Amino acid sequence: MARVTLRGIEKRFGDTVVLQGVDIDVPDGGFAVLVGPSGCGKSTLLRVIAGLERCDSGALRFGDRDVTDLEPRDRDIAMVFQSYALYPHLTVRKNLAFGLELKKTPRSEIDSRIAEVSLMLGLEPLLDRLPRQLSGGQRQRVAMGRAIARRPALFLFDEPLSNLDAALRAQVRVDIRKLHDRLAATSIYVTHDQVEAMTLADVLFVLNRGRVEQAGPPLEVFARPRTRFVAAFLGSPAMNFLPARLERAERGARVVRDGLALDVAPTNVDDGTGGEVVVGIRPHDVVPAESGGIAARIEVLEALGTESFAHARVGAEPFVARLDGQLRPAAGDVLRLDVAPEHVHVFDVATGRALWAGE
Amino acid sequence: MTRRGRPSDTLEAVLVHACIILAVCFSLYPVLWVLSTAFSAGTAPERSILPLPSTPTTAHLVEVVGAPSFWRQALNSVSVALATALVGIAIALPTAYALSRFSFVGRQAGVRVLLATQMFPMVASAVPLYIVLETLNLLDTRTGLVVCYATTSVPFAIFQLRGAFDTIPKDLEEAAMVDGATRLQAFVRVVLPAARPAIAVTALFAFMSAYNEFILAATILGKEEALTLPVVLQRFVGEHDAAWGKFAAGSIVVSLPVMALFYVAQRHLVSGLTAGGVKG
Ligand SMILES: Nc1ncnc2c1ncn2[C@@H]1O[C@H](COP(=O)(O)OP(=O)(O)O)[C@@H](O)[C@H]1O
Ligand SMILES: [Mg+2]
Repeated sequence: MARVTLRGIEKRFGDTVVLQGVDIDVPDGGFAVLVGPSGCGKSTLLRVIAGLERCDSGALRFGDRDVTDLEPRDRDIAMVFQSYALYPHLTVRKNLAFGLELKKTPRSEIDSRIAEVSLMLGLEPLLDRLPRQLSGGQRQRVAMGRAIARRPALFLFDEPLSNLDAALRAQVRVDIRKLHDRLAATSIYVTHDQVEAMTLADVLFVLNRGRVEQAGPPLEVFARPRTRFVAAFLGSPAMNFLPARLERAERGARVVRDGLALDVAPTNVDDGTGGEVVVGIRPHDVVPAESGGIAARIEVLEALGTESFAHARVGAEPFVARLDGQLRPAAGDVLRLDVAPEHVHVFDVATGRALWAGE
Repeated sequence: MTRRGRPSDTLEAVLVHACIILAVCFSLYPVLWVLSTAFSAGTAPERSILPLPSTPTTAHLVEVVGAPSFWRQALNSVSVALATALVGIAIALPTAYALSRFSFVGRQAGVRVLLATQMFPMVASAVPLYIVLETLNLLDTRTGLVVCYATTSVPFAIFQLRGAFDTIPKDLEEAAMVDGATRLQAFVRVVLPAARPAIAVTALFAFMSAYNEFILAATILGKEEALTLPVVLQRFVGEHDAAWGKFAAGSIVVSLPVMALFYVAQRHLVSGLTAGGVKG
């Protein structure tokens, strides 16, 4: 079992800087998710943690061990690859045993581990098949089993669900979390899927261009995005962004623009002066109200049954609002919407940082 | 899966089989003639449409196999071909793996030079090779022949195997290394087995091209007991007498090991061993 600490990890491929000073702390037994758009360096970071890539600078520690210069085989880790990477010439049983045999584990111990893992993942009927005789979901389970059989201190996952269909993905996601809780090992999980990130993580790291943009418990990150990037990345449909002017009042602050005038919670702004800002409002945070501070002119209503998404304009800016299913405004209607002050996010125009986070 | 009964399917099946039977007859006809000639009395092939011996005999076969140095010559052929294939594969495996997986100074240049050597037919270098072997006292030896053949089997095998390694996902080795393997262990225990079909095919081709090679063998070998089978065969139809019967019988004997090899190797020739290791 291991606490994982990364300090100042940098990695270049030729002239391309892929990781620029990544700091990460995962507590012992924690489930960390690294999330970010494609190409932001997630896989590279995971491969650095695995030892498959050397970092150009920075340090890695597992518990009290400095592993920065260790080979993958000396790190006591297991990895589930996006492609599963099952050994094609070996049966499922031999795939599960591969790592144990390399470590010269006694035969009886190998057999009991295989039995345990196959029971856990329902692999018994598959043990004598070759990988090419398995379905995608079964391969995925074998890949997980191969990792679990090793009983490593640290599990690494690189988008393990991305090759599964949607229904299976939802189910395996839950299974992974259950397995983690049961095995109590530390896990680091890479994905570009925000649903996986939100549901799996104890601690979430949002990566952007080789940097950790924000870290913390997923709901906290969701509720208080530190930057416009994080705000836009988490949540579906994505947060609305509108240019506006921040005005200071006696008590707290207000944001004002064509079609919008809303109070902002004091915790969401710094105590500087007013000026041009970008306002962020999640589609799910609006409620229809006679006296609401937003005037949204409906263009298209997507009714999904229990809820609808109204694609509208506030002034000239596009705006998406989530409405209850019963509400059926017609195109051209102007809907008044209200937002609680703590749900009005305010970002600096130039830096994209939330005002509360400062410079 | 029974699809009988539908007229269009039946017609399709008939046409397909007709085409296949025609193709088989077309390619078998000359082979049948060789068989017929081998088992006919007389020295020249008979003049008829159907390849059937009028007076069947095994005299040619007995004469070929009974020749004093025949078995020695067969051993020459097989051992030279085997050694060529082994040397080719042994040198090519690590080379091809390095070319496929690592980037190092001179990699591109090395590949180009290797490719360039493949542009010249081996005959073009027959004379220089003769001189080199003469200097090394390797004329009329199997070692000499293997050295010559390796100059083409090695580059050929390198290209074949590099292509094969390129198709094996890096993930497999990396998974092995995370699972506790050194790079060498990952190569031996994961990459080599995954490349087994390609290695088998490459070895088979190297074997066959050495086994069938004639021109260089005829140049370098002179002594009766040093000859390989293609040279022996050619000597049956020399300038003075053309013993077509013996030639045909010899051809059949020469073909047998190759046919046996193909039969044994066909399991490996069916590729697709790597399928299913990665991706869903
Ligand atoms: N071996 C490599 N050589 C050169 N560039 C690479 C290599 N691996 C990754 N990159 C580059 O690094 C960036 C991040 O890649 P990656 O870590 O795979 O992103 P992600 O997993 O977040 O999609 C990409 O721009 C990619 O092109
Ligand atoms: Mg990736």
